[in-house]
Amino acid sequence: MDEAAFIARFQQTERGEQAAHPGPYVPRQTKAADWRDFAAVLNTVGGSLLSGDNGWRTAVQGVIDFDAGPVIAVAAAQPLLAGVTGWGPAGDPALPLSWETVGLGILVAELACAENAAVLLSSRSLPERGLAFLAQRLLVLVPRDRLVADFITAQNQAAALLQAHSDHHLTWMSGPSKTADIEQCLVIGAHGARSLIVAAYDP
Amino acid sequence: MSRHAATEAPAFHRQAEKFLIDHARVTWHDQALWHVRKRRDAVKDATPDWEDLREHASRIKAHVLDHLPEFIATFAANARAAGWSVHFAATDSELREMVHGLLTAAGATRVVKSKSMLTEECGLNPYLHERGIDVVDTDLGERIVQLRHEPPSHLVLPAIHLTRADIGATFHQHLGTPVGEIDPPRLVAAARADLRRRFLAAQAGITGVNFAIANTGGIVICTNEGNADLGTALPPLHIACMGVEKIIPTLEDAGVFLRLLARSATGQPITSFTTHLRGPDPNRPEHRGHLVIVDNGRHRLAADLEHRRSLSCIRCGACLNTCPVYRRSSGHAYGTVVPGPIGAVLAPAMIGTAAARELPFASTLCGSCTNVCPVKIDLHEQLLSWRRRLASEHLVPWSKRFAMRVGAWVMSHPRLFAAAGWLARRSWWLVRWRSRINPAWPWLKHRDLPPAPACSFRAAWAKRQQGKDRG
Repeated sequence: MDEAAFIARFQQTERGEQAAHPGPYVPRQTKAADWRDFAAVLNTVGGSLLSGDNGWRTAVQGVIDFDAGPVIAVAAAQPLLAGVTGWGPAGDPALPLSWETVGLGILVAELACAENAAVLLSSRSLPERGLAFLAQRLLVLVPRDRLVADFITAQNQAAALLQAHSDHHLTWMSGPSKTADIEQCLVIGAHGARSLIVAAYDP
Repeated sequence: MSRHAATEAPAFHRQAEKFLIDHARVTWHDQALWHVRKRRDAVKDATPDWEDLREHASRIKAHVLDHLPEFIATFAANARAAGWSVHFAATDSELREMVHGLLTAAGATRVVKSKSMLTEECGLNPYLHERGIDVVDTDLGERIVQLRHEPPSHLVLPAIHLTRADIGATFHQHLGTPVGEIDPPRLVAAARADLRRRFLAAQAGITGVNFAIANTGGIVICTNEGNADLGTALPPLHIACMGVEKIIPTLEDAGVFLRLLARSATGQPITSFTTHLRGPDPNRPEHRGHLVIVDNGRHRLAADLEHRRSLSCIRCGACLNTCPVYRRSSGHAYGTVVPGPIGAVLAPAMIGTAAARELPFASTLCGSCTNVCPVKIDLHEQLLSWRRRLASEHLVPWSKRFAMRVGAWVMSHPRLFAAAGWLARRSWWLVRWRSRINPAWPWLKHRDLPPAPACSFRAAWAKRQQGKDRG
């Protein structure tokens, strides 16, 4: 059916209340963004925040050394991992099936939200989209100064990123893949990553 | 099982009765859903601006529903600009033919699909199967019911009616898990291994849409498993199917709905994966993205001012989890794709008042559904208004109409009412005895009638007033 005929089906004879848009939602809370809040919520959704007492690079090196591998880093993560060893480059984004056997995928997020422990992945930071869902485990690097307390502000920032860069995809990722479809028993690792570690890095 | 051909839903009360035979299962089902409701309550209580969010979401939806033609045009234009090939389907058969045509043109016979109530409504899977296309549902719950040739029984928990033993038996038969394996992590691992193979070999991915964003031309898909992301990131072809009511104005507005959706559905602060997609991936030159926008009866509901609000539904399932009737009769009893209170409100408009005539009565009108609805649909009021419309169309059984007439007549004649009360108090023992032997009224099948009071309310009141005067 063509568009004009389709839309004509919804032309209403009775116009109803003609409700106006309520305008932008103004969040009530004015709490400051705190990585401890982020970590607490992340634990409840099956992920964990990497503590970086000895510097975040040392902690990331620890995760890589502990991993069974192979460890693959996306293009955006590679400059951040200078001095860190034990990983390889992700390669061509046009060939997603090449990531089938990846053990640990290292990604970079645009920002993080404390309210729901979500990190934002974009086409710009992650042209290698398939890797985020094929890797058995994930390590996501987030700039330490890009934490937002509430999701309304976080989503507004995501929309602003889209305006600026016309991203193809934007994904909020909150913890690893999970399912409770069998008798409401929570099982981590339904399809995508079986574990998710978030590390705040100093840009 | 194809339900697109079924115009007449089987009687709700007969289907519910079948479910009620197994008492232990009913109790288990009831408690499993109440557990989900309690998880929702906990996160709702931890969200101080919950009521503000509901009000705001409800007003955004009302705005869109009052301006649907404009929003469809804006969304379609921006979706094309984002790279989607946009198609329109007026009916379920148009959607089926459209999707089949797109798959055939691409030579795709191996398809992975993520959750979509719309394609369920349109009977897409059986149609494609009959034409030699292997469509695999990839949401674990959907996969379980697909292997069992059953429809989903809940909007977000498709296999909530099944125990781990049921699922273990199904997986043993289809996925080769050991006999008696009922451990959820091991069953999930078996499904993961089987589905991973299918994701890698898939030639196309079909998804639903949670929110269609008018100002970006993008679609938002929410999953916990990541199956929609795998299904859109790996195969070279993506077909997204959506009803017109999924459109919201802006990506900023989506923030309000995303704060409500997962909390209302499962008690999570947000789904594990919430992805906004705009057309084909520019990093993969062979990638194609199609978007099919579907009516299939929605224009009738949009034109019905009394019931238009029910199109605001974001399919969270909270009204199902809280409904005492749904919890004790299961989703299959409704015989419609969308069960529970929202299903009973949508069905008369979508499949016709005659076919859905029992469903608005499958409610106690307690109003709990209205209280939990994140977009403030006045569900119990809508159920009542559908009852009125059914009565005006003479679709209520003669026994109920007769009883109502008699009741109205007796109650509007005070002397007659007093006489009827006197007679009832004296013959009540006979009614109780009779209803225990053979309950003619279904209500009495699992309940006993209370004993008759000694005197009428008026007499009791008069006596009480006398006592007060003396004191």
